[in-house]
Amino acid sequence: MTKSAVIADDDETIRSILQYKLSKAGFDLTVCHDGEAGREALNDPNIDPDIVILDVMMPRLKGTQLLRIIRRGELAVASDVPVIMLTSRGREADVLEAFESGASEYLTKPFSPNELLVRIEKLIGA
Amino acid sequence: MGVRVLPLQAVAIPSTVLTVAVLVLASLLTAVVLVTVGYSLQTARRRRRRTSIRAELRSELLGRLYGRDKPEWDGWVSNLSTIELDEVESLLDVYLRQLDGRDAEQLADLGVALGINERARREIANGDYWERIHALVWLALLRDAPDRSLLKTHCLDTPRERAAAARVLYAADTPDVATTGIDLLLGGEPRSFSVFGIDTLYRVSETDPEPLFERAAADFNTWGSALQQQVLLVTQHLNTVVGSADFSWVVDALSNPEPRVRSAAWRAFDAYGWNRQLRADIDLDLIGDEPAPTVRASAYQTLGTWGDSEASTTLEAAATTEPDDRARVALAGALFPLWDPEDAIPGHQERVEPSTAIAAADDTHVPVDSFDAAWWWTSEHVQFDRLARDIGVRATRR
Repeated sequence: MTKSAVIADDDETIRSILQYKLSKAGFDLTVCHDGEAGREALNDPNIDPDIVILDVMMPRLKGTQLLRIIRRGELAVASDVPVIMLTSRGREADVLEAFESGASEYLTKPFSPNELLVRIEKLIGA
Repeated sequence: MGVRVLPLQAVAIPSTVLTVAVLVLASLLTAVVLVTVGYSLQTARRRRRRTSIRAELRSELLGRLYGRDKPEWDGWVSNLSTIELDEVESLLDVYLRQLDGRDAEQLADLGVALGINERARREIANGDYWERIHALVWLALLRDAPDRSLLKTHCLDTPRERAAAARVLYAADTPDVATTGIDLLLGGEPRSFSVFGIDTLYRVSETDPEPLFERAAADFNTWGSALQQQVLLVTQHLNTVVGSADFSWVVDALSNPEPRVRSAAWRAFDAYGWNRQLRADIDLDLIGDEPAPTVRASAYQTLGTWGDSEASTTLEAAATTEPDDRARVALAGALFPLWDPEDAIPGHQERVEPSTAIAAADDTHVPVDSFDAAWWWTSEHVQFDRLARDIGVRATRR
């Protein structure tokens, strides 16, 4: 069965890395350029991701705000979908805020794509 | 001496001269327009070409990084043109900033294939200031620490250069990052750092703070107050336990003439509430005698972080005497997490309802215990903060 993921990150470099790495790992990807596009994708009943990867600082809608919207069940996506926050904000307060918002995992940039894959597999039980 | 003003005189200019002047100006204007348009078109064409080249190179780079067992960078870069090499270097810069782990190591090999590491060493040895900074940035990105003498000889001119050199050791995760890093940052006659420098000072000391503490114990009093404050700030955030460290310099800084240094000194003790021997050296009476409210506020915050009965007693005593509004808010913020809701609020024998205190605080004609207002303000703040973060409660209420 094909796995699917939604990625929302405004950084083209990060998007290109994730696209390459997750495509190679067999994921169907929906790639969004900002938080609002991510919200729209996650509200699309046809997109049922196994995993969501969000940047924190994005135009139009912050990743942590989007995460709270997901967890409150306001979108079509399952409110308990695993969400990984991928961000350059590594301060303790940022990490705590993300986990309090309902993040399943938190990775800081620069990041290891191999580590990200292992965490994804652990979360979705692949 | 008077100034003589001459009357303006009209001068007749021959029409031929005017015509020639207009023609020359028009020609110049036309030439400028043509050159500008031509240059813009050429630049746009070059940019389009570079964008196209960059997209192809990005795809090839990622394909080699993720699509093969071995990227074989050497064979690839040997066939690239000058423009392509320039773009690959630019892409390498971008990707190295985002990647860590095995992928970053493999990409660093691309930097070696491009000869960036050798070029950086040459620039550090022979380049000017900006070339050295540029070279240090590349070595940090490539996680490639050069010979230490190269850094110590050429990279101590400014705080920025010192920090960039220390950052290379941190990025390369060298075993001597703490010792050599502190030598680079604080050796000789150091000056205060930018935010990048403070962050670097923290990073090189994070796992082994002893070299920093030893250097501060020896040299603290020779530094300017801005650097003193920065070193104390870093000490506040270093939570690696060093039981035997000499903190007499921090204790002495509690009596420093500069309020900002005294304030930072109090906060530097945040992580050391467990250290009874150290606490015995700290005179808590200094807080009551402290003239600067900002310093008292810092002292309250540190006592709140310690959070034991001795600290709590000191804070409760200050609640009845603190004269400054902002310091009272800091005091209330420090005491609140230590307070049992079943108890009377500090300074009272019995419970006081929030509405009473808040109403009194809002009415400027009614005398009010200002600490009560600070207390209830803090209480509300904490409650709303908890509510805002409690996703489960809000989801249930919907």
